[in-house]
Amino acid sequence: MISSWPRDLLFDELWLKSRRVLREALESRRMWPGDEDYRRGRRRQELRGQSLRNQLLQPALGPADYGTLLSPRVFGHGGDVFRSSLPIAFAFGHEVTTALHQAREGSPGAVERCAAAGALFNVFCSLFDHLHDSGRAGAAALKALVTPGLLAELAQNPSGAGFDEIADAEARVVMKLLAAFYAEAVEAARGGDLSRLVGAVGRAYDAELNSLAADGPADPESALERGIGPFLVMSGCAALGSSHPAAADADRLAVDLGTAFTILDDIVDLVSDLRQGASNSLIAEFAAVGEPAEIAGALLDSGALAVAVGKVCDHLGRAADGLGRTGRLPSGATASDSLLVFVRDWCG
Amino acid sequence: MAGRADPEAMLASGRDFLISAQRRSGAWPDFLTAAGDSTDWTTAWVARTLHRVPGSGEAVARAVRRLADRQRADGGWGYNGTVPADADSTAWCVLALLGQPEVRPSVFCRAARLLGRHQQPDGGFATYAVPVLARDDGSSTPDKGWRTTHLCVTATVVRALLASGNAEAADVPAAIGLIRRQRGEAGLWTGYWWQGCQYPTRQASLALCAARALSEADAERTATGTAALQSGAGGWSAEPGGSPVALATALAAATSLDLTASPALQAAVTERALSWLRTAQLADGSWPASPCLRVPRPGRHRPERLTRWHQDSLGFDSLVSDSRRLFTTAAVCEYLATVLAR
Repeated sequence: MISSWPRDLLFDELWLKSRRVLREALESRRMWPGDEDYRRGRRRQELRGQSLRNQLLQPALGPADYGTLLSPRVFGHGGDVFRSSLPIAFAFGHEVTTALHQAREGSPGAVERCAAAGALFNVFCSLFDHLHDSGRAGAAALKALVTPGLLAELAQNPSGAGFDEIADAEARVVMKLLAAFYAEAVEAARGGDLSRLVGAVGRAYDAELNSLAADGPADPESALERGIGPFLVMSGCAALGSSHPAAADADRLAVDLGTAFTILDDIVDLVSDLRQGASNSLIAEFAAVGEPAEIAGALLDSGALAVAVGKVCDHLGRAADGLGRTGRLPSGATASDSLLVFVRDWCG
Repeated sequence: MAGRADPEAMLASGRDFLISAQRRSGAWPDFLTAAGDSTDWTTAWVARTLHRVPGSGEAVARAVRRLADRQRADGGWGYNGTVPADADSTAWCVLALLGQPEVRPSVFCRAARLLGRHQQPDGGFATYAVPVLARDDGSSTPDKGWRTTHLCVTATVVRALLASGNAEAADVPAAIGLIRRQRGEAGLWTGYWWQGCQYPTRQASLALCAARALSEADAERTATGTAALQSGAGGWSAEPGGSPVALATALAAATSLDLTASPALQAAVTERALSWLRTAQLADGSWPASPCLRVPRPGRHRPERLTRWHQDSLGFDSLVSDSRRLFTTAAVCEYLATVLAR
């Protein structure tokens, strides 16, 4: 039984096996970009992300808070990782929203604004999650600030939010990002109805709160729901300004993408999530087993890893099929090719 | 000299110098002392600074492979292979290896346990936990000075423990308390191994930021205290009244840029610092070394009281330069990458 191994060995084995099983499965399904394609695609996304960061973040935050976000003064020891991955977070939100916009056959003239809103929402989510996962007192203040009433109000009047007055720098930056997302969404909607998007944001936020409120690790369904929520919001962004929403197909695609990336994230972060007690759908299945090392042993002794990898491949495959029917992205790659660059990136 | 500083071009040539100076083994050796060149510590320092520099991926990967292979049975790394593992080298190796896809989790857990064994009753971390200089007769040279709390080491250890998710391996709040207590009047810190306040201040402020233990007011005080030491030409000296040097300039300019919330202060300090660094850059892309690393007699507890250091000698009580210019050049590259990321 592997589960009787020493703790360090168990964690190393889980770390190695999760990566090996993932890569083998993705390669066998032709969903693992080759080295050169990956390097080229990664570079393209990084440049796109840098450009989005420069174009969207400084106006959203103003020069002082832009400097604050990019300095080590905020977000603690995890802030460095967040700051270095900012361009990719922007690029990911942009690419997913663009792909979903094309899946809806949205108007080409509207895609950039929709994608900018999706990119801002993805960055907002990353920062919000980071602040909550850090367990800092500011997270509670943020939770008190973001209410259903505020989410609806921002959709009506994103520029009058007055978040400059928030004393806590981290909460202020996060709230200004939320306001910037809504401002971009209002522009993209061109006077159209935002209620569907506001609903999606509300549901994503509820899922986030449910997952955070759990006493111990959230159950697998809640953990998954928390991961899918932002993709449905990006699907809502993709529909902005469109006169024929065709929501069902695009939302199915968003659920497939959300499920694939959430489980992928959970597989890649298994060891760190185990050690830090973070929310993770795979760990949640074995939460009753006991201590982290025992959960690691149980995960290795079971077939849960292979099942989870199979789900990633199935959902990615369905999403790639759906995206394959749509045209090329502005980046020049097909939507599925571009998203597979992110898949490999996620795998480390 | 005419013309404005072009940080992108300066960074590219600095990076190329570092890449060309890397040994085939992946090492960046520097700081020649009686124990020889440092290999693991300096390699980790350079690799860590290059993480953020585009075009350095392969060089960093070579260094990472070397460092991962050289972790010792006790979980640590040393100044080089001939001396025991120490907390500072180990903390820098952890920081260099973080986020590298091929490094397995136990590398960090084992390193954290070694770091925990270096913690002292006052909460700080000593550089060495074991006698360093054994004599032939089995006795050892008095070395308590090297085996007591060092602020400059404590700060880096706190950063490494927090960033690697291993804070439980030591009493991190006690270490943070010590760092806060040791802050000087102007919001600056001094250290055991370093001449001047720039290196200790940089590490201490980053450690407090990592722990979310630096208030906005304290951050501003450190930023303005640092900026106040900038020379008219834009550089910083290691000691009051000295000539500006590149290492102190890179570290102090980065501290000031990171800690102030004032865009006006950031712009004023940065423009002059870049201008000074542009004129100081050598034709090969590097920046000049300076005597910055103290090697006090191992029994010495208060090196700041020593008034005469032997410059670049191989004995004790010497002040050693990074004669290969790798340490300084890496520090400047990291600063330039920070500027460009804004």
